[in-house]
Amino acid sequence: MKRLENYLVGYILGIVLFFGVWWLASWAVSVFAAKPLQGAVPPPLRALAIFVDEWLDLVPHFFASGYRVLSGLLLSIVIAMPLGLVIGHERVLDRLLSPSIYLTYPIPKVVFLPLLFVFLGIYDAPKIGLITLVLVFQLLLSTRDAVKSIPKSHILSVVSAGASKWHVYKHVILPASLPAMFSALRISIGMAITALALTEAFASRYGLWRYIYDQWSRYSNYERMFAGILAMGILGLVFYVVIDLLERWICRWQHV
Amino acid sequence: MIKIDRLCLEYRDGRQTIPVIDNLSLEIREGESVAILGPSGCGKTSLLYAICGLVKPTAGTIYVDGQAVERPRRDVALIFQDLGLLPWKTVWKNASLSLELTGSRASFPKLSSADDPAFQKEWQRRKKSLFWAYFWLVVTGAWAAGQRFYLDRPFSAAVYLVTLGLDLIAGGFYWSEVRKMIDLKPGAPWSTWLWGGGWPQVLLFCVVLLLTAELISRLMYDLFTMPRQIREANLLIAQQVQNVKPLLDELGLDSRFYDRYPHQLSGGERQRVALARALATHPKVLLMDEPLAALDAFNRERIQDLLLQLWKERGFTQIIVTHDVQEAVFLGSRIVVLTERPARIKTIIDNPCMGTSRTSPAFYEKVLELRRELS
Repeated sequence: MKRLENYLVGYILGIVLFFGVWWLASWAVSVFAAKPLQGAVPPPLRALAIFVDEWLDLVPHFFASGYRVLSGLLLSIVIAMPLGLVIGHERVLDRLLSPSIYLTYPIPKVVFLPLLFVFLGIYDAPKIGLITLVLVFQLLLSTRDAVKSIPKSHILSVVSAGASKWHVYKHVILPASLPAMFSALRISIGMAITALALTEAFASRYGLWRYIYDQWSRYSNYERMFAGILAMGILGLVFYVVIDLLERWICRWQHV
Repeated sequence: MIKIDRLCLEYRDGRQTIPVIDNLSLEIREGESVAILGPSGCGKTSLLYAICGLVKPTAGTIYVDGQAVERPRRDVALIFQDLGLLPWKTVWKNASLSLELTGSRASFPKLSSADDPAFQKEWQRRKKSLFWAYFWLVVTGAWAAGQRFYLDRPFSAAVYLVTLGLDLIAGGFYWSEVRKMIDLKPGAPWSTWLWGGGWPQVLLFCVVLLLTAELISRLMYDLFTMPRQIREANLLIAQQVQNVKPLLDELGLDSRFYDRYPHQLSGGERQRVALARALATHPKVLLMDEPLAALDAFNRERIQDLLLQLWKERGFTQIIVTHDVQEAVFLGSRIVVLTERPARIKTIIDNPCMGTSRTSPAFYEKVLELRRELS
């Protein structure tokens, strides 16, 4: 309980710091910027007030974006995690698959967006598909590398105690690579939301990027735009907090 | 007990092969304690790996209990130089790991939980609650399926129920918005999104199929497999408690330690956990690869005493690889001295001073003799 309290206090302090910097920025813009731009960065409390006012309008956008990110995340975990574990452990598979991974990894996955739209329709599927595509490689590579860096003696000690292949995966390889997987997940959240903003620019009626873009280009309403940005930040925060808590729970040995 | 017959071992390093062990023959009787001494890097570890079955010899054979070793055996336990404790497992889980892996029921007396009245009572209670759970599922399912509107769309009835609930909970204040977000034909019922064709329908169908299969398999499992599995799980836990707890007690690790992780322990305590893990399955052979090298002198001697005591009590065959002369004299009833790589047997020294006081003159004499042999 004490630890949870510290955790919460840390988060709240961090949020306060964030708003402080924002407030400074908005003050600087309102004082030093050219006349028509002076309202471009509203002060945080103003943006918060607008955010609260706009919340009911924002909800569908928020859920639409959250649904896409979450689906992409889960799908990529389901694909990348087992694959990474197996590739990392089985040398034959590593030799077989690594070249193709290295070939496709550096390509920015955005170039597949047209293909995704052609094959998966125009609704949520291509959006989730792109997020998955972006995340799969990230997770796959970090899982594989984590498996490769497991000390040989861990595996040998289990094998010498009479473990089967399945036992080795269950008792050594999976738990050993979990921390790396969590940190990869944390990195991928940012990438996922970036990819999300990209895909929501096309053929979407709901989504936080759609909302932000509309407020900017259609209504030139900077205050509402910032409410949208805030919502996006909250979306990311929710994911980060959930992942942090999950890690604390699952990788308990790292936190005692 | 262990017979090493003209063992050769080579490692391949690029083009060249490095001979590690060259034509080594050795016989070890049951219940003997053999110390193997040699300069570092001479192939002592490889020898142990070969006895354990982790490494295939290039030539020659190793027999344990009359059988040639091809893969790791249950009755041969190995303690690594860095102990090989898994950092993500608690002391208890680490110590009972080998029991869990082998699940060996044969070598232990069977406990019968089937005649245990507490177990019977628990099982009756579970059966009852299971019956009511399935009863409830069937009734609600029938009711949902019987909704007239949805008879033509079998699974959307459930969706309807769920959304109705969500609508009520949320006060209906934004679900119209959410609906607009998801279904592209405004005014169509909720279910069209899930059951109106396209990939959501396929996905939902797959999910429902999976759930149904899961439910059926669970029913089968609960009725046929669970009683047996509960019995076996109880048995396994009982075995772990029966075997691991006394061992940990004997090694001086009480229940305060059970939930700690290896990095929270001191070197000596970690050593004890590794010993417990190796001995939990009552192995016939215990192999140790310089297990005490990382300890301070005080702890090392304490653990040496402990090892000696365990060896006397349990009567397993013990091979300890070391580069510490005193340790070899204290723990080995026979001391095998190896040459530089490739390892051959230099001499074998019988050691009557094993386990005697470390300060006695005879002990000193033996240590001196061994030192002369090494130099």
